[in-house]
Amino acid sequence: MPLSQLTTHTLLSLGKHPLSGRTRRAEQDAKAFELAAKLGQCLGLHAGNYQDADALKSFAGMSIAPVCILEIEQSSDPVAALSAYFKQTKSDIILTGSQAERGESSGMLPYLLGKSLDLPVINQVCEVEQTETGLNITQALPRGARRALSVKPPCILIIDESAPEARQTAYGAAMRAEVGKLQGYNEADTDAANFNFEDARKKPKRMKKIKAKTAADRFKAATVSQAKGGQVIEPKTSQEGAEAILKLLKEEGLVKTN
Amino acid sequence: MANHVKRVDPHLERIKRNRLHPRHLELTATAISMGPNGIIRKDPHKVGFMGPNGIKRIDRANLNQASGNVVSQMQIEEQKPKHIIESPTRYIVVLPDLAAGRLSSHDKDVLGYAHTLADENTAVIAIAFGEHKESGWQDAGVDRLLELNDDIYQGFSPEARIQALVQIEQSLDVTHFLFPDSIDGGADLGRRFAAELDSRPVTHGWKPLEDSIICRASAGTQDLTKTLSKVMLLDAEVADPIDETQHAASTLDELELAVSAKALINDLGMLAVNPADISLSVAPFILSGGNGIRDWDTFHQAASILGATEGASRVAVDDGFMPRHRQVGASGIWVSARVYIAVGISGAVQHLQGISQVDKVIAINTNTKCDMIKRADLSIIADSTDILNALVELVQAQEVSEGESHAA
Amino acid sequence: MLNSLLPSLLPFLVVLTLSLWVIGAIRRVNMWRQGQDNPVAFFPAIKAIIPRYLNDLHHVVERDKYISNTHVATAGGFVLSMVLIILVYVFGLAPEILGKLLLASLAMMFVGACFVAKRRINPPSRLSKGPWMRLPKSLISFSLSFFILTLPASGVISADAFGWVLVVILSAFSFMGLTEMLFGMTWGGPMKHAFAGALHLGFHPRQDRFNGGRSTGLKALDLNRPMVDKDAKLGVEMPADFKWNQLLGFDACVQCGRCESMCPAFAAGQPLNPKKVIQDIVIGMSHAQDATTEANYYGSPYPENQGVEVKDHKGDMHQPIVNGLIEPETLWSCTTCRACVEECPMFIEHVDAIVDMRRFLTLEKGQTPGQGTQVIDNLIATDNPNGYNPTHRMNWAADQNLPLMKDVKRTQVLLWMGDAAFDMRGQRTLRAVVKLLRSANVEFAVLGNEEKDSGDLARRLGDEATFQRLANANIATLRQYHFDMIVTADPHSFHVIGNEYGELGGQYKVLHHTTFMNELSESGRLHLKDDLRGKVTYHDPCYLGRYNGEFEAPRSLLKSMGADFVEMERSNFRSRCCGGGGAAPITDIPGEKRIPDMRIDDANATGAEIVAVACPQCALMLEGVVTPRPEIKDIAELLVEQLVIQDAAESNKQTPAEVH
Ligand SMILES: Cc1cc2nc3c(=O)[nH]c(=O)nc-3n(C[C@H](O)[C@H](O)[C@H](O)COP(=O)(O)OP(=O)(O)OC[C@H]3O[C@@H](n4cnc5c(N)ncnc54)[C@H](O)[C@@H]3O)c2cc1C
Ligand code: SF4
Ligand code: SF4
Repeated sequence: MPLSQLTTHTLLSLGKHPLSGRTRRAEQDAKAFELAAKLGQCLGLHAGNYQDADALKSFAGMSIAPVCILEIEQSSDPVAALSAYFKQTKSDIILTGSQAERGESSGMLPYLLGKSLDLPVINQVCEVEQTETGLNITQALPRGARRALSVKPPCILIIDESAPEARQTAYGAAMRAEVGKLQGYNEADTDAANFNFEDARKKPKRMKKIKAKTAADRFKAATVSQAKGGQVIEPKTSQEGAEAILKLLKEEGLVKTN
Repeated sequence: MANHVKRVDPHLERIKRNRLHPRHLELTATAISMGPNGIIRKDPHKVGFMGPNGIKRIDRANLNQASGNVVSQMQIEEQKPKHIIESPTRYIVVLPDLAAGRLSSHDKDVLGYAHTLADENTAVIAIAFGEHKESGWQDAGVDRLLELNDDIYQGFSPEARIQALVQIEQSLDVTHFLFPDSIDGGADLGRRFAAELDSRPVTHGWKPLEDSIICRASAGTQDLTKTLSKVMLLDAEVADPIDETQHAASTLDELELAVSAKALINDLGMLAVNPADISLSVAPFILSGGNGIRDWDTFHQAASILGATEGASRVAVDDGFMPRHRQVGASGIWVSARVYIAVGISGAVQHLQGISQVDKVIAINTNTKCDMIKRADLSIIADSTDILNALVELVQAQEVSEGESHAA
Repeated sequence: MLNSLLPSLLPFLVVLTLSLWVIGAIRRVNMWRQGQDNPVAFFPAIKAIIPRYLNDLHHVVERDKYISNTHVATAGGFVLSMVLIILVYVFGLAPEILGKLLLASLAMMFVGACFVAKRRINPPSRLSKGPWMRLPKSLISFSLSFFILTLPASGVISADAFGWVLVVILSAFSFMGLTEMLFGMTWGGPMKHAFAGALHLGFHPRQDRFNGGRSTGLKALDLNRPMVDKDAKLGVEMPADFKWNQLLGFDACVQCGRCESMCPAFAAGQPLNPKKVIQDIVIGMSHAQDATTEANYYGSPYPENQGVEVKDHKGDMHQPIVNGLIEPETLWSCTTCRACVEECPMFIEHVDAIVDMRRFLTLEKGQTPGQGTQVIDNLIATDNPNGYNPTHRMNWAADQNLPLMKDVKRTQVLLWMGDAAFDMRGQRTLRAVVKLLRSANVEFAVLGNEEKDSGDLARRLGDEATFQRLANANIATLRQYHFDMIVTADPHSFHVIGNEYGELGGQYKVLHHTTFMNELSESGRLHLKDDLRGKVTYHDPCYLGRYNGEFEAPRSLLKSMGADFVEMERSNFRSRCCGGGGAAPITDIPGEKRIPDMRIDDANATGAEIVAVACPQCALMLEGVVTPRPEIKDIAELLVEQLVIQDAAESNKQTPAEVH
């Protein structure tokens, strides 16, 4: 089964810039779209309001695949709509981001979709390759580690940050693009209707709990943790300097302690 | 533990006897004496001790308490109050990530949070999937421990793990399943489980309130208060870790789990990743060289022995010593390493911009006044080649001694 | 019989080549007309050719005295001779008188041609070889053979002084000359520059450039075109997408390589040579129709031979330029410093062409290289290139208590901060400017967080859409307030607001801080000590100097501080770019050297201890050079150091003491 025969859907959502709050293409979804570009026939699908068509042109401007809106009402649950859509339209691969940039952003969508469509879900995907029997997936783990997985399509793949960068949106292509429209299935999300969003509060820095038995210990703990600015060592021997470095590396768990 | 027994440290005793030892004074000096007219005097020469860099330090706060008779510097094992739940009626289940086989601080925070939800009849269960090296369950607040390390739970095995969790949910009265919302596994497993139960979970919960919890929403830019749910995914520092009590961590063995080995997703194992291939932007540990590197062979050797990813300053790249995709900085790559060693890099703004997200910076530089030293958490003022060579030797020597101790 | 045929041979050859010239000219004009419309009134354009040749063009050519004299002799001689040849040989008009005139003009041309030949003995590397090496020979054979043939015709020597063999040989030489001069002029030989060049002077796309005018702002792109017309594209993909008179301009290139010798990117070994960029486009547009095989390139390659090799050139009027003729790295190496444009005797607009092609890559292809994509995304989301929180623009001035436009509504001077507000180095300069304004009691205010990036970077990255959004937003903000003028320490904002906002409806009086400070100093409102220590040189920012012609104010300020001032070899309109313009540091195309390093070498050659700059970008670029190097100081910083704080008595005069 050559790759080009696979059908892929990438789920797209509107992002929000973390500092200015402006609407943009959701970064992870753009990466998912980029990955989809090499997986044969693809469609970019957004469950939402057709009023957002202009904003979705930022995906269309990537010139990877057509972009389509599965139109549902404001109060409807996108998972229900998507699930209804995919029960009718088979897709070998459904690519998603791990978390939306707006709203609840619980990251549940791919899992709920997986449950309702009975598809395997793989998270933290950074590479997909087709084999004789299915797909080989590279899963990105923290600190640069990688794991190889295999799965048979159909499946749902959640993109990882370390997947290849999404290409630039070309303004001209975006302006010319037409965003398609499909009628989606509406099922109200009653919980979400009561959500009350506020600006993110600042997380207080955790205080170092001082477990000191003596006043001197407390003093030491207080002074050591507060002394900002690094330690400067002019070592007598290079060995001494190297030891100081190694000590820090061990504390950070980067070099094995023996 | 016989913590009342006074221990004698033979090493310190030896120093006390050896008047030529640099730390001799530190251990023996009674710096304070009565002067001839009854005035208390401090002998300035006898005050203080040698600091690690050979500079004499005066320990006014008496932090080291290093006078002759305080030799019992050993750890005092405190006796913590025990927290025992004999016959629990309800459970809270915590699924620690056990990244690198041990409870992470995030795991411990979640365990701490579990106890804020537990009453006197609720036991906190920790489920350890796969192999682990953890032994401190009792101190981390685990009342019951369930270790599931059959083959089906090894590696990436979400399907088997979810089956197990579902069966636990069916056989015990569990009020909450708590997961660290982390890329080390909790974020994924928790969401899978919530989807399986079809229950809307708390995600990125970070600030507990009375009967609810504030969650991060909109990718961290907004807050959303949710009522407590069956499945909860919690951010680091959601609560303080357990610290003052000791728990039973007794095995939970009355459970019979029937988990099928059939899986749609196959784990083909970890891929060998060469630190040199890790993209600079995510590499956890970077050794970066600049114009102050005299010997690039030593630099490469040091990077490979330390297991560090190589980075470079613009000048090192322009001069052709390093490839372009290794350049750190404004016009290169912005890195996010935990530790960044800047060897012979002066710390131009354009370079510092690229390391603004680094946790700890170590500078090796001959110039005490350069900007990198101002940014660094630890600076070694010395020649780059010497220090890199010393590092290589030190690590090699350690590996040899480790090898010997393994052989022994 | 032969004797009777001979007299009609020459007229026949002249008429033949003239007809070919006309056919070639029509074909050439038609070729240019495949470009996009850009109407220029016909008769005024034709009328303007000669004055523009005599004033503007000569002014540029004159920078190389040798070639300017040579050109006057050769070109003047040729044009005159050609007219006379037609009159004498074709119409047989007054051979006695006109023939003698013809002899004189041919002699003049011959002398010129000898000097051309001399230059070609050991030509500098910037000159193209190939057919260009043949040109002096053609010039000499044309002038000499016609000269000898005209001797009898004008009655200087007897009519049958030459045997027919000699006449045939001479006629062969004159035919050779005629072919080069007439046929080659419109069919693609080196002489093409005369035909296209003359018309280009008249039909130049920037009509305001002449008569001492300066037209340096980029022209706006109609962003709505793709929505109106699905086939329309933004920017230039293939030669036919250029305006017709841009194509005419490219065709006029004489391959003199003056642009190449001034280009900082070329000197740094980056894959850019402005001359070759122009020639690559010419080859693309004309190789299909040029009869000669000379639509080829015999000049310096892109450094390190990067780029599409000439033999692999694929392109024509309707084929993409990038990757067929020019590699994208070439286009992204340009700092838009305009050194090439300033130097080009044919008034070719390299920067416009490069930006046009960049526009296509960014707007239609989404192929901005390097960190360019990131910078554009940041500009879109946060109105500043580094993605800082837009509400933190004023943070630097937390301790400055600056009046905000939204509070005061009306002020004399609106201080435009620029993105330097986000950068520690730039903030030092801004603080200095504020201090100077306060010390001169200037009434001023800032936009604060209402200010947005001027759009300079976005525009040079080819992102016209983001430029226009930023520009329109800034114009809308400025429209709410009243001020006499905008003063800024950033030459890029200065240029863009002053020269590029106008087309979008924003007309302002904008001054660079050095101009304004110089006025203050000359009018006695700024008191300066004249004991500035250390040898100082000054680096002209491209966007202040070449773009806007301000060379004097900074120098005059330095002098009034008593600086021991030295000029770098390349200064004023020939200043070498610091490498910081045109988004070049963002696209960051590698070369053998770095442009700022070369600029510091220039400064070192003067022995200066301080390089005075007048642009935050220059300061960043030059300070990025590895020490030891001279200190880099903005003129505003130097001014603050030399500032005489007015004594108490004087400041009392301003605020009468309330005790009385
Ligand atoms: C637009 C622009 C973008 C730039 N982008 C970047 C970028 O992305 N990344 C980047 O790195 N730079 C960038 N630069 C260049 C930057 O400004 C500096 O020039 C560069 O970072 C300096 O590199 P360096 O620290 O290796 O060299 P130097 O500044 O020469 O510093 C060498 C250091 O090595 C020390 N040293 C010398 N000998 C020894 C020794 N034997 N042992 C130990 N230490 C020694 C010296 O004390 C000094 O501190 C940029 C510049 C510009 C203008
Ligand atoms: S573009 Fe202008 S300066 Fe450059 S070679 Fe051609 S004519 Fe000369
Ligand atoms: S504008 Fe400057 S950098 Fe660009 S081609 Fe011309 S001379 Fe070269």
